[in-house]
Order: sequence, then C-alpha cells, then structure tokens
Amino acid sequence: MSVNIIAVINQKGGVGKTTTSANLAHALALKGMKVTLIDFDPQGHLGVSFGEVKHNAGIGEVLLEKTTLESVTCKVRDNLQLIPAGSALKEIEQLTEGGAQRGDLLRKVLEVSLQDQDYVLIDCPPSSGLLAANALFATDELLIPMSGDFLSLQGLSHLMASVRKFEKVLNKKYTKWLVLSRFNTVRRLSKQVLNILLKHFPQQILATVIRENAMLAECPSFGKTILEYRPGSRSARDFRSLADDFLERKVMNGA
Amino acid sequence: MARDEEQMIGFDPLAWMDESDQDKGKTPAMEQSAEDTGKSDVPSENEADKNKVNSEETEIDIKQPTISTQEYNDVVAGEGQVKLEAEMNIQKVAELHKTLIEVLEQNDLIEIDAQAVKTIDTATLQLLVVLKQEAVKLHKNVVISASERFVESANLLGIGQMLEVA
Ligand SMILES: Nc1ncnc2c1ncn2[C@@H]1O[C@H](COP(=O)(O)OP(=O)(O)OP(=O)(O)O)[C@@H](O)[C@H]1O
Ligand SMILES: [Mg+2]
Repeated sequence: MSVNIIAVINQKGGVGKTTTSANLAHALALKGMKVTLIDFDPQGHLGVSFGEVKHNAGIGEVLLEKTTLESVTCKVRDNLQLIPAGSALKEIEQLTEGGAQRGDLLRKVLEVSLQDQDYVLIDCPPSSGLLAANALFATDELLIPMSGDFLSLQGLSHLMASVRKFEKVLNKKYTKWLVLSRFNTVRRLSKQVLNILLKHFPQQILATVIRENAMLAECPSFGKTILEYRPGSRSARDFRSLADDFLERKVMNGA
Repeated sequence: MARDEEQMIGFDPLAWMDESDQDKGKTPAMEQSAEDTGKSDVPSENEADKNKVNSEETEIDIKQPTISTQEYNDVVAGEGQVKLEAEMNIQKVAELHKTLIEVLEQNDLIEIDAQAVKTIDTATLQLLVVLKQEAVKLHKNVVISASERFVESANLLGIGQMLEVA
C-alpha cells in the first residue's frame, strides 16, 4: 500500500488544525495504522501537544538539507511518529533564493521517504505563504478543519480560491475533506453554517463533527492527546469516530 | 434549511464557487448596456476581496519545475492576457465575455492585446468598458494595447479616454 499524504490545512488561525492533526493521528495509530505527523507550523504546537518540546532540528532543517528526515523523526506513540517543526522552519517562509525549487522542497523529501507509512498528516500553519505552498505541492489530499462560525466560511472562501489556483497551475484536483472541528451543537448559527457547507461540499464533509469541549484545549498542556487524557470523554469518542469516517470515507449526506 | 427557521447568515461567501462553475454555460449579459455594470456577470465585490487577499497571499514567487514561468505568472502572480482578433463583432462577444470573466477573476492585471484589431463593433467596445469599470471596483488594472483602428473606433464612440487608449 502506498502512503497517503494529507495536508491539514486552513489559513484561518485557531480552527483546530493542530487539535485535529494530533488527535486524529493518534486515533488512527490506535486503530493500527502507521502514521507520521509533520509539524509544519514554526510555532511547533503539534510537537508540544505530544510533549515534545526540546527539538532544535526538524522538518525545517530537512528542507534546507541541513539534516536528514530520519535523524529528526521521533517515535511519539505506538505506530505514531512525529517530525517536529525545527527552528529553521520559519526561515523557509522567508526564503528569497532557490527559484524554481522553493515550492517543491517538501514534495521532493516525501517522494523518497516514509514509504512504510499508511498516513502522513501535515499540520499546516495559519498562513498562505511558502509553507502552505509546499504542502499543496506535496499532496493531492486536503483535510480542512472548520469551526462553525460565519467568519470561517469567509476564510474557507479564501482557501478555496488559493486551492483552485494551485489546481490550475499544478494541473491536478485535490481530494478535499472538511471536518467540523469546533462545532457548537447548541448554536443555531453552527447549523446554518453546516447547511451552507453541505451545499458547496456535498459528500466531502466527514460524518462526525468534533464538538467544542474544553478538555480538548486542556490536554496539550499535559503533552497528551484526548485519547490518553480522557479516553472515556465524548471528545475522545468524537475522534475515534472521526478516524473511522476518515478510513471509510464516511461523509454527511446533504439535507 | 427549514423555511420557518430564522436566517442568521446574510450572505454566502462561498457562492462564487458555484458561479464560477456555471459561467461556462452562461450567455453574456454585458452587451446590453455599459451602464448596467452593477448587474453584469462580472465577479462581485465580495469576490474582489477574495481575489485581493488571495493574490497577496499566493504571490510567493515560487516556480514549479513542470510548468512554464509564463503559465505560473498567469495564474498565480496575477497577470492575464487576452488577445483580440482582427475582426471583433457581436458573434464573438459571448465568448469574449466568458474569457474576460475568468481572467478578471483570476488576475490583478489584465492585458488586452488589441493590436491586431481591424474592425471592432459597439458591443465589444461596451464589453471592454464594463471590464474597465469592474476592474476599478475590484482594485484591479486593465491595460489595453490598441491598434489605430481600435483607437479610432473607441474615440468615435467617445470612450477612448475611458479605455485609456485615446
Ligand atoms: N473542539 C474543540 N473544543 C474546544 N477547544 C478546541 C477545540 N478544537 C480546538 N480547540 C482549542 O482552540 C485553540 C486553537 O486550536 P488549534 O491550535 O487546534 O487550531 P489551529 O488551527 O491549529 O490554530 P493555528 O492556526 O494557530 O495553528 C486551541 O487552544 C485548542 O485547544
Ligand atoms: Mg496549529
């Protein structure tokens, strides 16, 4: 089986990219999938979520050919490995040299690495600069976390415009999955946002919504995923169920 | 959505996605009147913002080895070129209208190459006026490089200055 590379992407900040990456990846690993997470945000929050805080080198250094992918890859759980951001990652966003190859750094690395993995998830930064471009070059599949508020629709509109441009330039079509990653089931607005999403992304919204829950915000400080921090909580159930959806391509049916 | 449910969302920021899918089959609305700009099929204000933000965001000056620099610039860096044929008439307006919408949507600078134009009719010129006006609204630029006949025709209609070819 070939490796599935998926960019967890949305240039809007705080929509749940990192939370989704960490917990979905762990849920997949617990189901026996071999998963690698790439922390592609210079902030390094994904690493922190797994209690990995003291890495100097990471994917940034690999892309700049200062070190190898193998040497920065760390096993964080059974079946789950993490490639930290590394302090050089923020330099990539500011690169001014390298011409033709700058958007293509990550793709080149992934083409020859991690071939024994089932899934590689790239936790993208909240921006649409060179890092996001590298992620878009490297993958054909996007997982787009969305919160249920109006401004996230606006953000999605921007994202889709970028995605379309890349589709055109790279002559490919991305497989897109939306996940409602911070869903407030009580608010009526959330439901209306969902209806709009269903209209524009039929059969592309993963069936399970991740509900807003303070526990999800607590667990990173303990370096744990929700599946360790509160395995019996409804948030843990949400993520286990999301992992099933993800594996089985289970989506919401439009109203 | 149930009809009786109170609407809490005033407009749908994603509506353009369907619109740009449908454009392919649309008939031109522009040849009717140049004053009609507000109602034309040219992307809305909302889309303007999107394109503006987006083009800033994606102006990353990266080049992908498998595509030409020209192609890359056209799509990502935001320059679109449209070449007009020697004879421009109402039969071609529909096609041109479609092209212009696409180009306007995807680019910040639109270059109209009208150097080959020998005859041009009112409908086409009006379409270009609408394009100019829409572009201004969207904070975009339209540059026309015109043949003598193009300039003559435009001046005859009194829109040479508007098109910045006079
Ligand atoms: N379902 C949820 N319920 C409650 N809090 C959540 C939920 N999802 C995410 N959060 C919290 O919201 C904040 C932002 O989430 P997260 O860091 O996952 O978003 P992000 O998209 O990765 O942000 P950034 O754009 O900064 O990388 C975090 O404090 C996180 O713990
Ligand atoms: Mg994040």
